[in-house]
Amino acid sequence: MRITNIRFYSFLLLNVISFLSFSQTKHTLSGYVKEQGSKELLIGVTIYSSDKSAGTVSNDFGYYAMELTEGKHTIIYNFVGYKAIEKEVTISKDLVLTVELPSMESALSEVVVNASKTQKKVSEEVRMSSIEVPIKTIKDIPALFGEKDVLKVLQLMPGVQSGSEGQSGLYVRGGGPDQNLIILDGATVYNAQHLFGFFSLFNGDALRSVELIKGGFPARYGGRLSSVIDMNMKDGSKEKITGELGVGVISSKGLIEGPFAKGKGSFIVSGRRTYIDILAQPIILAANSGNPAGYFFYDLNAKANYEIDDKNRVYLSGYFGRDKFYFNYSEPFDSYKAKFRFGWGNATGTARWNHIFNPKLFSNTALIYSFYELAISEKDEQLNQPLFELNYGSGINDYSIKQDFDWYANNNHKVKFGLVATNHRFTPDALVIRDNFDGSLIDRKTEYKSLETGLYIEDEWKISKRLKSLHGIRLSTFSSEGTTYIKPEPRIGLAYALRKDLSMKASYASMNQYIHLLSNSGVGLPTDLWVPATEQVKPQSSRQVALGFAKDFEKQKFSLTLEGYYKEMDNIIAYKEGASFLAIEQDIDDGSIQSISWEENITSGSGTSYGGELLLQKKQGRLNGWIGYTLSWTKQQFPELNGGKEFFARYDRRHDISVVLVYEIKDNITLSGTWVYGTGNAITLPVSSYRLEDITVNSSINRWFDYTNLGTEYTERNGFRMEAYHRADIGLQISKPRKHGIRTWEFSAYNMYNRRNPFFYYIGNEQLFDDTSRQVLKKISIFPILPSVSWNYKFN
Amino acid sequence: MKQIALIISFISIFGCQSIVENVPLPETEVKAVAFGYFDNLNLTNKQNISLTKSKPVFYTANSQSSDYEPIQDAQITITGNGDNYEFYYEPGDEEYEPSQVVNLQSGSEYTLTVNSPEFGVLKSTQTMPQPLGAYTIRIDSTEREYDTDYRVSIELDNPLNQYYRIEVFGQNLSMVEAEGIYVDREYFKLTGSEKQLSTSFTEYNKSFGGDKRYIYLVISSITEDYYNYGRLLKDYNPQNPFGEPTLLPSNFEGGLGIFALSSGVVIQIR
Repeated sequence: MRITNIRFYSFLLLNVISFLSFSQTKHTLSGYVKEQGSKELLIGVTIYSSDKSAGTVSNDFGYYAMELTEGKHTIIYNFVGYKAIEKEVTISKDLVLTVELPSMESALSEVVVNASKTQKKVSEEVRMSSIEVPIKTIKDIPALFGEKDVLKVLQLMPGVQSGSEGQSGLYVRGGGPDQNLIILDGATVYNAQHLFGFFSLFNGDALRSVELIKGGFPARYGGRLSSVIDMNMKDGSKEKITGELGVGVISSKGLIEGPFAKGKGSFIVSGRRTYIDILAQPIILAANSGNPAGYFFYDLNAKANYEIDDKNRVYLSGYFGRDKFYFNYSEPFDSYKAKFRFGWGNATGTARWNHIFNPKLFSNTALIYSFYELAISEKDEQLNQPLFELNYGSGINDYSIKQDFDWYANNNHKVKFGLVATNHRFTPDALVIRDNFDGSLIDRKTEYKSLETGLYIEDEWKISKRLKSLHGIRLSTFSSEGTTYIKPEPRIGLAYALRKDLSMKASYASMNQYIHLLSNSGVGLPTDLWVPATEQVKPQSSRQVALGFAKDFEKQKFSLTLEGYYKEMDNIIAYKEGASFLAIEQDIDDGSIQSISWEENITSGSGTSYGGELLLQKKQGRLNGWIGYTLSWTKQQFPELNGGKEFFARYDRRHDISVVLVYEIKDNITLSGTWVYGTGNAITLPVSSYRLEDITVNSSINRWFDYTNLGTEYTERNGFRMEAYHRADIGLQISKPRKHGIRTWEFSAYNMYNRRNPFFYYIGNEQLFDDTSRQVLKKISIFPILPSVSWNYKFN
Repeated sequence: MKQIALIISFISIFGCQSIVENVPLPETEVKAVAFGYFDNLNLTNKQNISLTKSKPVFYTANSQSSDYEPIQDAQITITGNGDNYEFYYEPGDEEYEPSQVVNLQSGSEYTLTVNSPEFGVLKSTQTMPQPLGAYTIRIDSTEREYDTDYRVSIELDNPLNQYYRIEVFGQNLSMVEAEGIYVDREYFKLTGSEKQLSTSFTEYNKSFGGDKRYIYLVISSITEDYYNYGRLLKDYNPQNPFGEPTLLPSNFEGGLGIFALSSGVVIQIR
């Protein structure tokens, strides 16, 4: 213990001393990095002096700052997908320099340096377990029905798995989809799925950056156990009004962006809607005897920003989207009508103010709103009199205030600190069932108000030429229903350069999650309930350690990362055996429906996940892409499940392979392909049935056997593996300049070798010759080889 | 180009389909299933043991509960505390009956052994729970027009056991036998210094039957295995399509079913 304390205080002292600068006079070079032309701010641009004496990275708002000694310097600005440029600067006082990088497509040769020598290197980054996905890559990769999907591209990364066929849910390092913090312009998105999970909410056209963090979490992030997916919307072009149109097989989309207030501000609006319901309605009407049914989704992204002066900018952004399924049924003969509706949707809104106090201190203040709801309803009536009514809903409503500071203390320390407070209002379930036939009524609504806060500080410290550290701490609190939790969350990441272009990295992160998602494993619908931690249902927590190597092969223009991780999770929740998401139960004696609390429906346990990940990535050249491989184990243990014995999680996946290749045949023709393989999902399967003998009483209170039920013997929980999943997709994009812009046709084929991957298994009945029947296990496959085509037009 | 796009769009929109295929499965082993419930109360007019065969769920003809074939040629014994109780097959009931009254002593360990030519040996060893001991019971009731709500609280002086069950059952004697019976069960696990068991229930339609109605409480110490089995059975509803599967545990080595022991008291509260 004493040694540990000495080491800790030594570390602290060293840290404090290193904040003090004893060197020659230094000044600060600061400014913004933008895209040439549109003046879109660029996040994550690497900026460094040619002698490597100073370096930094542009923040989430494109701002950078670093210290330079007096004199002449060559500064290099470098970003994936853009031509790197050099700037000569003479430093005699603090200098503001805003730089515009030309994209690869529109690069001007005179400002371009040899990009191959200056690409961002994974071996030089202190952070591990994080991946930035270029938006262009998302647009290049073939997709189901041609619908480009950010989350499905993330599924192709090692350590990230998909759920069922075609689903966009993410399972990161053994965590469930609820353990991912998905942030869009600072606002949490609770259910990131359209069409029962086949598509994600995020329209790639409106996004500027996407980053996935699987471990070694910086202290500024908190509230989830397994991953952070941080997305930022584009600001909109400040150059001119422009736009894009896209027509696909199932949806169409549009985008418009442009400047206002003489270029001091810009806006962007994008939207899309599916039209399967409109196209297929004649067929549905014919098949359903004139009864209409359909499904559609739409989403809308909008953002505006305004530069008040050199030190102040404001941003306003929002997302709104909904999914709707409807079915109407009528029998004119009986004057009977029924309406069924099923819908869910998200809305987010963010107002942000950036202020530069001085070149070294950047501030971002944000007011954030986030909303998610699910609604199911059924109304039956006869002779215009109500017969039956069901209304079921669940949702979550957040209001947050956030204050972040970036302090560029000196070239050895980049400090971020801030706080966030979120007021949650949960409605886990609101249920009304009114049956006029027997007069029964359930009318219940559960509502919780909670306050979640996070106070953090983190420091990226260049300890020596070889050793860097990213350490910090987050103090999180959560209050709900009279219960308050206060939890410190230490985080540390270290990177040690073993030699040029090869580094060893290690990280530790402690995380807490104060909200839970109740997800019924038997249902593939968004019938998920967000609920708060309460006195009875404790917050989830995790501790993750990771160790890895990062190597850049400069000549071959690719990088290799190899990581191993071990994660422990406590207080994770699951439905109890026999529980149902509707949280109602039928009385065995009189058949009446009774409502029960969600807290009675769930049980808590622990989990462990460990494994290794390999990522071989090429980001440059005509041929780029990556190969990812994950070997992992995910186990859970609940005292009340599986007889208290440990079992594999449903999404435990031993092997997961992704191969992604994008080849630019010509400047205007791109060929792309992916191949994925994953071990089958683990499910619980009935094995045998038996006569269940329970005891009851007779009139003389004598016990006797009651044979009314059949018992079922199952495999152990998740003891059966579905078939392995594999699939190849291919895509071809052909662009051609037209009078007002560039037209692109995209042809793609999903599942090109027509693999019948399981979507789900169910127990079906099969008729036998002797008029008896038997149960069989059936596999449903829904996506055979699916060609698709889309047309896009980008206006100049 | 436009014609090609239209053709591809048509194929794509109508290309999705539900391809349904049977999934081959390994052969499922048929197992022996035994049930034996024993207590210290004189409530059991038949201290029987049921022994049947399980059936594979898949790829065998569907069946009713009555179709599950009893195993008729097994030797069944309960041994422990120097006692040896033998059971013989009673074809009328399709159950095994004891050759003498089974009287199990609290604190003693008993082994139920089933030996059949087809399935070999099934075995379960359980300890008869300690009796309830001294306790204080409080019953509150709220009368309503047709129904009465009861709240029962039992404070155990010195709990010697960790697992308990409260059963409530009553009957309207004016009605046809068994129709008016209702049973409710609650299972408890006491941790630390906990001593209290409490439950609530409602007597419905109390005007029927007048004075001939009765309500009994049976408060029992039970084994851990019985607790784990009973609490899952309480909410067992395999017909619910939205429900999680319930993995009913078995405490038999080599088979399925439960050997359940309890030690309790009966209280008539009406």
